[in-house]
Amino acid sequence: MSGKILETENVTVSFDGFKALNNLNFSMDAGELRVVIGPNGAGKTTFLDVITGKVQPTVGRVMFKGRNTQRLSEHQIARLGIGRKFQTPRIYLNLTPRENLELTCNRNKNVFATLFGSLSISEQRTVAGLLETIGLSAKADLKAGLLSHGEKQRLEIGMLVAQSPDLLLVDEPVAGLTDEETYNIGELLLALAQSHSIVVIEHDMEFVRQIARKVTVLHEGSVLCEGTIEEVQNDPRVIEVYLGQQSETEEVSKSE
Amino acid sequence: MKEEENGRSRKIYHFPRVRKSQQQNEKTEEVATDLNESITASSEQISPLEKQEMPEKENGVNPEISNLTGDKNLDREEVTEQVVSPNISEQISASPPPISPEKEEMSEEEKWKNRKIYHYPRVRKSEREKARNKQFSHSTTVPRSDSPMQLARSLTQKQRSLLIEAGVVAAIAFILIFIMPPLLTVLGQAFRVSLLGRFLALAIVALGIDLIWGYTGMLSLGHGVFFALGGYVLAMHLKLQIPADASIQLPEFMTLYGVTELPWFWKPFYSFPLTAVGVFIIPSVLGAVLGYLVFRNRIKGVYFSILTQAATIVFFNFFNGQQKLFNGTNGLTDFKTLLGANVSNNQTQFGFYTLTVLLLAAAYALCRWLTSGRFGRLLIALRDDEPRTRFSGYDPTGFKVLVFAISAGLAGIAGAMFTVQTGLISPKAMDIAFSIEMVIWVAVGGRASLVGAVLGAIAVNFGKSILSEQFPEVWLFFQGALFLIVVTVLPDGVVGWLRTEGIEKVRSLFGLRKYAVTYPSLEENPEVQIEREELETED
Repeated sequence: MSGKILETENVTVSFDGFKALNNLNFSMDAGELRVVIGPNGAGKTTFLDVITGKVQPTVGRVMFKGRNTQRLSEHQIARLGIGRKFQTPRIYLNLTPRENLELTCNRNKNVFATLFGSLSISEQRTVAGLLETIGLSAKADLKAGLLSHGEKQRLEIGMLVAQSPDLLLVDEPVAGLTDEETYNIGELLLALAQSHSIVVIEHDMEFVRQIARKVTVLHEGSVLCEGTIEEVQNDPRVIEVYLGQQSETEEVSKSE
Repeated sequence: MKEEENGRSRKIYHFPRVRKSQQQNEKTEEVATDLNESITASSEQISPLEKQEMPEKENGVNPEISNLTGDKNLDREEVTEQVVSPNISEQISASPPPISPEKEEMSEEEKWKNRKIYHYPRVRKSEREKARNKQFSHSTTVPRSDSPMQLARSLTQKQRSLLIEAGVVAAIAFILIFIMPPLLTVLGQAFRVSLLGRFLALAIVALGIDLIWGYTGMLSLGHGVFFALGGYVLAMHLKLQIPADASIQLPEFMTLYGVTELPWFWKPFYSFPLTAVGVFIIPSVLGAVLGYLVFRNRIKGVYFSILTQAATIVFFNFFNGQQKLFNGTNGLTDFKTLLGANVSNNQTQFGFYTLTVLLLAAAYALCRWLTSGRFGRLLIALRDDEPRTRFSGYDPTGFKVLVFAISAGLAGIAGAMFTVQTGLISPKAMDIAFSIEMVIWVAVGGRASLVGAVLGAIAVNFGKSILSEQFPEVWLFFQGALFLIVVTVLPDGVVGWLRTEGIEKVRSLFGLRKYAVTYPSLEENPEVQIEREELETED
């Protein structure tokens, strides 16, 4: 798979003069698992907004599979094969996890197909399989509003997987999860990376080390550094901007 | 002792042994399911029978297991029966790779040992099913099990509950048509029959508004327009029923204003079939066009409501001003015959009453069909978080336009039936107060429930008519008070309240146990309740 699945060329997003993204040049091969890290305010979520079409770039363009996504609306971009998991779990609280998954794994998303069609057996099996994977089989028929935060995160990741996109944009998947759950999500993402392209935004360095092959560091809206996790962690610019505190605490914890 | 027992019960039979051989690569799944199984297994409420069923029913466990991983940090030493938490925290702090070989050995033993445990959640489950099949609750969840055999069995359960519901609706329709009128006549309240007919027509509008507001989250404060349009269509047809031997073949009001020729848009309404279709289609098309322009531009929320109000004002002023075309403020009245029968005749009126009941049943069936299944869930998703549905790949415009058009069509039908039973249609039906009243009916009855919309419409209107008879001066205060009560005390409406709290009250009346979402020993144990309150007040 040699094609570049995602490329941004000189993307600048300016909100009334404040540049959330500033000449961002990012590219990613198909089938890659890329982790994007950076301090808060670096523009990571805006980066995902630009890719999914929520925000239009002021300058520059985003190419998904070689195609300019400029004037497409969010649902068209989603149908092209981009799926997104949000920073805080955005699931439908009044529906059960099973119904949440059914909504997203629906293949044909126009009005009459949803109205007149019903779930095919394969979709039901997909939903059942996903419920096992995310560990919500026991609570599949409770209202999602009753789930705990970790379970909501897992449900949202399940919804993303159900959509079966080519490119997964995962925004802080393990925020608020325990070590055990973090490890599980990491394994899940690695398994998915075998057949999908994934962009993960994270702050948890342990988790990043578990899953990352290539890491991109964003700072103030542009790419600061790219490379493997070791290169990035030893880069002085990155340490100054972001990881400075982190490496101290790691030394402390290693010595214990 | 407790620790040992719990330690033993932790490693109980876990059915992923079957699935592990299929998916050796997904360690995640194993761990997740191991976690799952240990959670389900360490609760002593699970019967071995249920566990054996687990290969088929993958989540056949009671929903009482909830918030387990969430609550694990709370100190629960008083709970003697289900010591779930300490187990889980132990389990989790263990290293992530599953300890499979040990578990496989233990599972046979444990399976055998635990076969003797009494499983009272069995009773619970059937209670739950019964509660779900009651009239108030419309079960719309997909069958809970995943094997084909289980699916087939629970499918007939769903079909059964649908049949029961259809039977209830048919029974109510029967009662309304055949029993209520004679009953009311006997009680000396014969005039209430025609009132009931009118209120049933209004219930159809309420269904339409519930469809777009309760389920899709679009508050339309201008449905009076569609209501009145339907009424006008039928009224035009009725006014055109001039006896063939009359000297002037025009509705009388037109001669008053010196109109000599019938305007072009009156002409299609000579024919009854066209009128009957137009009653539904014309408001629908108008609703679809208006809706498309609005939803395509992503206008929603308060702005949408204001737009509908503006539309109301536009139409009101138009109809009010058109003396020559629609008789302006006076409206269309004095209907003579319809299809040869005298309109004011008692028998014809009873015919209209019956037709209204049947149309209400049909409208209920239509709304029920729309709000169940995937489409209904998508409507709820649109109500709760529309941008999220866009990111999932859905284009909300088409769905909202369809639902809005159907709701407008229902309002048109209601308008027609109301007109023919009242004998009058005027622009007053288009004004804002009436449209807001429609919303109040739905708010009182219960927003996300179809039964609530119907009941709300009938109850509020009956209340209004009774109160305005008894207290002619102050009944407006009652209406205001009703609105305040609903907004402050019953935000979900009467039916919404009944579904959540009312069922509890009924159960306590009959001495049944409270339906606990988590473990009964946690929810009903007064010590735990006190502790929980203390913890909450600390936060």
